[in-house]
Amino acid sequence: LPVLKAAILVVSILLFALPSFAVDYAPYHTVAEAEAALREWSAKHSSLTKLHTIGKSAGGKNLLVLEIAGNGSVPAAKRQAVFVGANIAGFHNAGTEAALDLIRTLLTSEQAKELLASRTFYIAPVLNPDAHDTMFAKVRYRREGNGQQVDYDRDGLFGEDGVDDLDGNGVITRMRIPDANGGWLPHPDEPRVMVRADGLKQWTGTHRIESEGDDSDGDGRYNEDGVEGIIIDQNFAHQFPYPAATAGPWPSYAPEAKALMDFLLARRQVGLAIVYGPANNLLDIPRSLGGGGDLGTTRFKIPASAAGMLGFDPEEEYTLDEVWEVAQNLPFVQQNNVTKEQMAQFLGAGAATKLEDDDQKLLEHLAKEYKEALKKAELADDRPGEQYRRGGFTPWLYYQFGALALELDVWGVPPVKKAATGDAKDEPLTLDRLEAMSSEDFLALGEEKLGAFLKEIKAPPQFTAAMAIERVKAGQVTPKQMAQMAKQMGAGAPGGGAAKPGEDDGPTKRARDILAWVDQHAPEASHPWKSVTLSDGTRAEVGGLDPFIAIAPPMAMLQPAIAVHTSTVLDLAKKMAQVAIHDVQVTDLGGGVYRVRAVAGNRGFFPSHTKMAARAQANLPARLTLEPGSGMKLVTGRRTIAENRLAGASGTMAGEWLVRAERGASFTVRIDTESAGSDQKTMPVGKGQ
Amino acid sequence: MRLGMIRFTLVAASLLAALLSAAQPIKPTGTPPRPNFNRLHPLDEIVGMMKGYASAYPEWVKLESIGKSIEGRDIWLLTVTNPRTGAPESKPAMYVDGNTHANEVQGTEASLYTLNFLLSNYGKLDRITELLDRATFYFVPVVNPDGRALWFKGPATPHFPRTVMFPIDDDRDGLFDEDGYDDLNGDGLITQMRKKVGMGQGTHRLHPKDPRILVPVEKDELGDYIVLGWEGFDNDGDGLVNEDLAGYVDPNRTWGYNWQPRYVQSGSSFYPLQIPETRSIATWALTKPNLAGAQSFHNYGQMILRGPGSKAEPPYPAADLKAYDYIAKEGERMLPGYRYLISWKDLYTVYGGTTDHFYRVHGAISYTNELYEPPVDVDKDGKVSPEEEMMFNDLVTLGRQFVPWTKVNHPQYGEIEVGGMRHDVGRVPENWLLEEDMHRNAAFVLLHAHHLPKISFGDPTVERVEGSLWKVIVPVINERATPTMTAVARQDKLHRPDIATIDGAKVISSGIVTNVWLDRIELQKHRPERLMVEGVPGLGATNLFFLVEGRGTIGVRYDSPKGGVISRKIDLR
Repeated sequence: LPVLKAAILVVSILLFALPSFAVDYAPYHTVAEAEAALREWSAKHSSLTKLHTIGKSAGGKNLLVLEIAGNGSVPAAKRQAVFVGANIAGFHNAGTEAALDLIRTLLTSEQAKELLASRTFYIAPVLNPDAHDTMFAKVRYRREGNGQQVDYDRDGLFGEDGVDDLDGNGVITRMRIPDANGGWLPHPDEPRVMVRADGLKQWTGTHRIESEGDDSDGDGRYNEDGVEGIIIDQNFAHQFPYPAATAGPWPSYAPEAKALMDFLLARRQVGLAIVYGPANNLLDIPRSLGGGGDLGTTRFKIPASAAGMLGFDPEEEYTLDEVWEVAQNLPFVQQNNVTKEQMAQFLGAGAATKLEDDDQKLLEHLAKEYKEALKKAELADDRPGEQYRRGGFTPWLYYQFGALALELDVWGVPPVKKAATGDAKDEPLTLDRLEAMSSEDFLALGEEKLGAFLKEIKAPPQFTAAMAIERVKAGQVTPKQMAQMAKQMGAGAPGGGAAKPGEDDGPTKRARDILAWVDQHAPEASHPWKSVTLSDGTRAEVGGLDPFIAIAPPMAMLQPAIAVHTSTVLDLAKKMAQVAIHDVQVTDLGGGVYRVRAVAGNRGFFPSHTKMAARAQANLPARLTLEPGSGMKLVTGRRTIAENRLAGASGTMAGEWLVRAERGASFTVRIDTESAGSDQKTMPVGKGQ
Repeated sequence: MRLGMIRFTLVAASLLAALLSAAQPIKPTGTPPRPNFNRLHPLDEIVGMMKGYASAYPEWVKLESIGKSIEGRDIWLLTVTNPRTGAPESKPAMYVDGNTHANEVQGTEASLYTLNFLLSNYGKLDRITELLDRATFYFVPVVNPDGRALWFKGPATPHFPRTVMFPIDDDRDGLFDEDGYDDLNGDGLITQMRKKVGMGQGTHRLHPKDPRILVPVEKDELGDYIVLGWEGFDNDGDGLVNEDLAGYVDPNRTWGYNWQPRYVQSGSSFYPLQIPETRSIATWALTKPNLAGAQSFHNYGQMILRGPGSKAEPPYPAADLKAYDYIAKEGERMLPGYRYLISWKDLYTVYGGTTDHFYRVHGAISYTNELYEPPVDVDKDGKVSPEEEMMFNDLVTLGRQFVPWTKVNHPQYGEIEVGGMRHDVGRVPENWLLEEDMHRNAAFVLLHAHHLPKISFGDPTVERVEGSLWKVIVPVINERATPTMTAVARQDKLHRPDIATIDGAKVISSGIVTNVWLDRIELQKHRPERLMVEGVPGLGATNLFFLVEGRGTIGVRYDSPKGGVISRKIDLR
């Protein structure tokens, strides 16, 4: 028995010592698990939830949206609503976990109870079910496309050349093929990172880079036509990337994209939309995706027919503001309620391509709060955030649906921290630092560290650390002289190249940061280069990082990030617009005629809807209506006054009506909006004034 | 050599004989529709005709519903070709539609005229015989059946409805389509409203010679009439009249290429192809890689339009313009008064239009014809005056068009007059003018179809390199104007290229000969047995190169999505 015990010990020590093959993603939810969780929750909390099947994916899987709303004075379908959608990208499984956590929190936490009385949530944890489970597949790779059939390389064959797990490790990494014409080389300092050839750095290409896999159809290209179909997150109409085969023949072609838009377009009360996906709009505010349509700076020619009426020169070009300043006072414009937006359309302004000013300011404010929340949770607030892409779901939500829309990636690899300058000991030693060092600091380095450094800069073997310390101690040489000498001898960056770590470009630096993080936290996600032979006899090496590790850490590390995002979403939901009737005054003008004056406004932090929604006329204006009761008649004026948009907290609107009323008759003043709630007040005239 | 020649002649002769014997007029089963293209047809009559053709020519005409309109009516598609010369999908195809805009009704008659002409002239006119033998026609005569039904039934004007029945809250008050036209005088028509007011309170006065006409006041006059627009009242009590009509989604702004949201392109709906009418067609069309030409019929103004629909769209590649310009300029000669125009430049900007979609998504040469222009400009000054319109009504139509003013009590305006031109005036011809426009436009479609790619192999050049290694060059000739792969399809990779294969020998290498005389060949670096060919130009040739190992007779096959499939034998000697 002791023998057996010992054997087990030995085996377990061995197992521990051996590198494990892959990252453990079992705690993440598969499509089926997520669906089961939704069904369980909706059954258990049937009074709070409603599970919508909004359609099927191309591959025939359910597209589910869980509606959550508590008991409140306003029916769920009329409340300000929040939409949260996750993993439309297909590989952003971390987002799914965050969406599920949000559901859990909304259904079980005390803090959410109050919020649920006045808000409705629509949460879709898996928006690309055909791709979602690739994380758990026998061969793991980042899949974006749904189950539609697409001939990516337009050769008449479908899915004939996808990725292949050549080294049999269960993950698709990268493949490098020796090729003097290839334009890539291993980074001199970090051979696991491949960098582009660069003449200025004297970096000559030695390899070509492909994803891991054979040229299965013998057309000279690798993995160019796998089984995946349309990339749903490119299949929306804002700056649709025609003519990309991956994006589909037209926006809304993917059944998932169409189902989502149909669902949302029937729910205009959705004023806030969060997408858990690869981009992070609060770490990096969305930039213009290019193209025209910026109303602030674009100059328009005025068509000759209108130029005369407006008094503009048809040969000159003007900005919209310049035109509007004149046009808004024209009788034609006033009588027909022509808006500035309609004028922009008349002038031929294209679609917006950058955030409207007000919305940008709001996002910048939210970004500040978000970063503070990250910091508080000891998460990196200075890591790069990706931008969303053309044809993406999030830009559609903002630019066309008009919601305040944010894409958040939940988690990302933190950048490697530079040690604070005060703590010189931890800072990596360089020749430049050596040159600036005092003798005391130099001696404080110690023999071991100095020895490692000398080895790194390839100092001659006879030049030992002990000898250097001796000479500095004796005052024979200063650290500065030593550094200059080393520089003259051509010592520099390790590997003999001219590059220093500080000279890496953004992507390379990021790649190295990620590697450093992986080495420390998830070494099993790093796969060293391994030789393989392709089916046509080509020799290649396969290796690199697990395709998911930079966006999906082991669950224990993801959880703190999820917690921050759940509370961020709850906080944003609280900030939504809420209209209210502020004040109603009735003045008796005599002869049974009364003047009713009502002021309404927005008490929420967010505006009634985004500036973009106003430009796109995506949301109805706020409408202030006087409804005369029996025995009362409107003498003059329209019953309803409209205001295109109410700013956050400060936005108000006023209406004034003359009514003829019998004593004691009453009226109701109401304000209606689509995504900012509603309010009403009923009052009598005469008595009680 | 001589023997081969004789054999070839024999084969050609028998093929010709077979074709000639096949080309008898088509015998209908039962009674085919006897259409009268001297009038416009309500939707149920049109559906009856379509069903009639399908049952009279069961093998030649296939009728299917490819979707349902918003109100649940079928979107009918007719597929027409000679069933004995190959399946519809195996031949170059021409798509023809009409009545996308509800009020532009005669596009339906133009489509059905074309169909009727094809069926009744097969075996009689060589060009028609050739067309049905080698090409396929797809007709969607009524893209917007709900709209057609409403236009015939009313309330309708010359310009309404244009929409499909997708409700839009035009006045943004939270209610949908709540304030449309109203037939105030109960005559079944929507005409104009005008009101006599006190002198000095109006903007118009009666025409001194013809009180049916109102004229705007001159600068030194006072007016005693106001113009109140189309017949209707303020249904929803918001102080506006007719401000939220049925619809409005313009189906010809909903297509998939360069669609823009409503604040950029009004009537576009909320995402491309949101409405089932156009989505059914677009989805169906994706299953037809053989679509090489498209024609959409609208009204009015006598135009042959091509894209781009907007300035934002890149200009069409020159190689495609060769085909576009050739066909359309012939069209200008066939259609007196019609002008060949570029939509955005010569007319107005259209995002999400039909022609751009078929060109940019399918790579098909596509036109929109704007049918008809009222022949009312008697003094030929380029403008149609109210006096000229009245003269045409009184003397030429003998008073058919004008509905005299009658007094009506209006709930908001009080006593007013209602009257004016009927809804079938201005955009659609009088019956006796209709047929010629239908015929000439059908002839234009048939010219376009005639120029769908028509490919054949030329004589091959065979040269022995050594032993059983042969160099084979074989030309593929396109004798019509449309390339087998348009430049836009090549540049934007819209569909697979043509593919040439050899059977009966091993292909060592293959490529395209760019200069036959100088032996310049662009080799395909990989997969030589599957030679990818970026098409055969219109009225031109592409020379295929193969280095093969084999002996005896080999087969060469050329498979073009839009040009059809051809094959021939080549003797290696």
